[in-house]
Amino acid sequence: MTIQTDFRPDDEPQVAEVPPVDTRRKLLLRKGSGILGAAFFGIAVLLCLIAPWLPIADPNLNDLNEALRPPFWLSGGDMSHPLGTDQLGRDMMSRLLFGGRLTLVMVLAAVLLAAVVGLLVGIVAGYRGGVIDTILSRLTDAQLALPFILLALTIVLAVGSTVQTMIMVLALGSWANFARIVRGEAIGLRKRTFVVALESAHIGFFGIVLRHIFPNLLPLLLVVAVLQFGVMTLSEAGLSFLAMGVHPPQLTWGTMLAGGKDYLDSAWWIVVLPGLCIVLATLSLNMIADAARDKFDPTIGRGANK
Amino acid sequence: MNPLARKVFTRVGTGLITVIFAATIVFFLARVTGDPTHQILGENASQEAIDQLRNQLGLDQSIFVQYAEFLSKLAVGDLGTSLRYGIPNIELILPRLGNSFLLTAVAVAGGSAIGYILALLGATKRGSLWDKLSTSIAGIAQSIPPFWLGLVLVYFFALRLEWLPSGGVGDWTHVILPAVAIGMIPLAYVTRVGRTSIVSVLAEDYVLAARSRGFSERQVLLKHVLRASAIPVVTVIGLLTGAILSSTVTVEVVFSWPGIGSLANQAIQGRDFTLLQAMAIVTAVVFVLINFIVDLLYEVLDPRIRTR
Amino acid sequence: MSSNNLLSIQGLCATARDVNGGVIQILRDVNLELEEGDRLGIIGQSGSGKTTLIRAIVGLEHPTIKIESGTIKFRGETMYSDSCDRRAELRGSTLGAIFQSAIRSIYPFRRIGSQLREIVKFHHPELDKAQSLNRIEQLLRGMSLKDTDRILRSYPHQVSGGQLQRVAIALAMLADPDVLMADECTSALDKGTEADVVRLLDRFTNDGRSLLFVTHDLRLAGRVCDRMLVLLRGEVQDSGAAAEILAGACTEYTRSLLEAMPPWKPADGSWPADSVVELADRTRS
Repeated sequence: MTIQTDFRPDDEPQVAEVPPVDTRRKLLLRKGSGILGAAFFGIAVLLCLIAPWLPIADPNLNDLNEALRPPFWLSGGDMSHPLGTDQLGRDMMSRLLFGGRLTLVMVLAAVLLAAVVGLLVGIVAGYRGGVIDTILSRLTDAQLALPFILLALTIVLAVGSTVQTMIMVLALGSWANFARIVRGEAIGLRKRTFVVALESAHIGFFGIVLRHIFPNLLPLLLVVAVLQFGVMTLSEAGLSFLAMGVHPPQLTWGTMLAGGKDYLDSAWWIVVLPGLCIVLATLSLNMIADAARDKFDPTIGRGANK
Repeated sequence: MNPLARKVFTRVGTGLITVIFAATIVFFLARVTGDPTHQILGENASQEAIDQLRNQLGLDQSIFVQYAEFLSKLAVGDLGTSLRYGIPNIELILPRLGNSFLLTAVAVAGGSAIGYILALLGATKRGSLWDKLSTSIAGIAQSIPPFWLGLVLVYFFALRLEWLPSGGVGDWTHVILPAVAIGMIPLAYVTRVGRTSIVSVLAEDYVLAARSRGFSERQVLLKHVLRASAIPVVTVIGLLTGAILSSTVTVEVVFSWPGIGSLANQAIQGRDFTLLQAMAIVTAVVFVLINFIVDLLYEVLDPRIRTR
Repeated sequence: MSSNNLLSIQGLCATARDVNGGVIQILRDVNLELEEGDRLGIIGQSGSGKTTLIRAIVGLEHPTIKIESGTIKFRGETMYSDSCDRRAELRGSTLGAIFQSAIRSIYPFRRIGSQLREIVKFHHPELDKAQSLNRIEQLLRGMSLKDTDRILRSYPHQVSGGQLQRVAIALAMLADPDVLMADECTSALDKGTEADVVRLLDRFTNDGRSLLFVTHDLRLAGRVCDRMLVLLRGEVQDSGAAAEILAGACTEYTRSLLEAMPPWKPADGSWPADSVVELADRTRS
């Protein structure tokens, strides 16, 4: 199937083609936005991490007297609940921070898992080649043929949704992306380091992999990982929205959205605020990935990573 | 066998294999990861009820027998019966397929068209404000959950401004908001990939030659650049099929759009996992078909592939 | 300045910026006079600015290059100066261009016949379909292209290199230009095909058309052209009758070109260059 071809849409042309001054300016812009993205994301992560120690309300404290309070800049809101409250009177700001905590942690775990699995599969398929490659590639393809959500929902239906299963489900939707790209690189690298492999035949497969292939793959992996982090955050939101996310009292940005959809008319902030967090987090991650990609290797498929 | 027939044959063959693989994945995933009966019946179900359900679902047989049955049914096009509604799954799915197709077609067409225009602006006015705008829009569009965008759009355009309906089907106005929500995905990727593609085409010798023959910039863009830059864009749209299908599940729920997305949601809420399984298979088939179409498009777009 | 002059370029200066922001002089105060029926060779090595020069005449210089000053006149009319830029009007119908690589300068996604007809339709809208087809076939046959039917129906990649170069020339000729600009159009060809192309250029310039022949090959230029202009780093070194220059009435640089064997060029085309643009052109081939 054509979708498995290692197609990389042509990225920026060779540097000499681009107006030199523009190149510098654009790179600076890219780097600048990368730094901006990193800074923003870093602060967000930090805030979420230290949330339990911040002087904010309990995210699960119901207080029906305070239900559906708007954020402080609207009439009816005040600084006691700076970002308003939801339908059960729970403080939004606190929920955003704690929700962010779980969301980010879950997605991080999923990315790591997906990366490790994808890396292994990709290296074995790309480096070894042959029958193993064919089988693994077909498997990857077949999985890509199923929209993630259907797969995820099937599993959740069978297993239930705990944090662990969510992590595995998210990773499941993503490992193929890593595998495909790693495989492509491994094939290329195999050709190049083959001589070295012959020489160090006594070191064996793992030695070669660890010493030669992996370090070359690392920057690429990082870029894909950052991008997938964003993709998974969006996926988690989707799953949770369909009530397939984690159960209360645990909360993520996605589950907040699910709860708030019925109150869209009366209390838009319940839906808009968590969504904004998701958007900003993903956006900053994408900016980081773009800047990193420009730095490491401008030919990584831009847009073929879904 | 003549080359064209052979090509079709291999494509169909590969496609079938992919569908079977996909179906297998779904099959095993549902059974091996846990016991679905508990999910369906809940925590407090009696052992009797569980046994009955297991029998009904065929879960008490060995997994190989189950798989064999599954495959044989698949071969005759039997996608099973819905647990909830008791009618063949395929009767539930097919009518809705058309609705989803309409929605996604509008979304992809609209998103791609606008994305292409943005790509053109960015590529021809590199470094300018337009370029930055187009790249920024692409970046933001990539970061928004489609269903959330749908909710926001409903809030503004349906609830506050009351310009457009907030859901359901009806006339063309009902398609707009959900199509915009889904259309963000192709828009983002078409803008990015299109811009890169157009930039590289503009640097080609035949563009310079065309200009030297007297054609205006606009003519060159329309006659030459558009078609030459199409292939990577078509490729990326093909790759996005999965993401777009995924987004229909949530967006259709937001807008109460009667397509396969909301059907999937109903299947989930109702723990109807035979229906879900059937849907997964149908989706895989759709996927294969779309890739088929993409391959065909390649042949149309690039004569060098065609006449080899 | 003779009023016979078809094309007159005075004091053309062009610059570009390199990767560090510094300024490179691509063309320094270049003067060029072309008369009717003239065959002018523009000779230079890579980085001499010769490609920039002829592209600048029709306003198609590389976007990184900036024309600082100079005037370009065609038949006495100012086409480019500080206050005006009408160079686009010269494209196609006045000045036709042929490039180095035919396969890359012809649009790959349309049949050859369709592209040829398009040119005729654009430049000679008064001709009907049969007349334009006639004209095309006449031209192609006149270039000793056999099997014109098949070629018209084919896509560029289905046609041989030599045939394609003729098609490229046809694409330029169909617009009926007064001047033909050939930019290294034989560099990629074998000697046999090169001779063919040279013969064709010869024929086309016999009926009053002028030729600007850009090449790095001094001897080839000597065979094709009556007059020559030698460029080094954007500056004109020699300008005058080909015969005289080739006999030795030239500057040191040109003499060194005459005396040297054809300079060794690495097979992959890499060559140290001063100019960003020439580098870009070459990294693309």
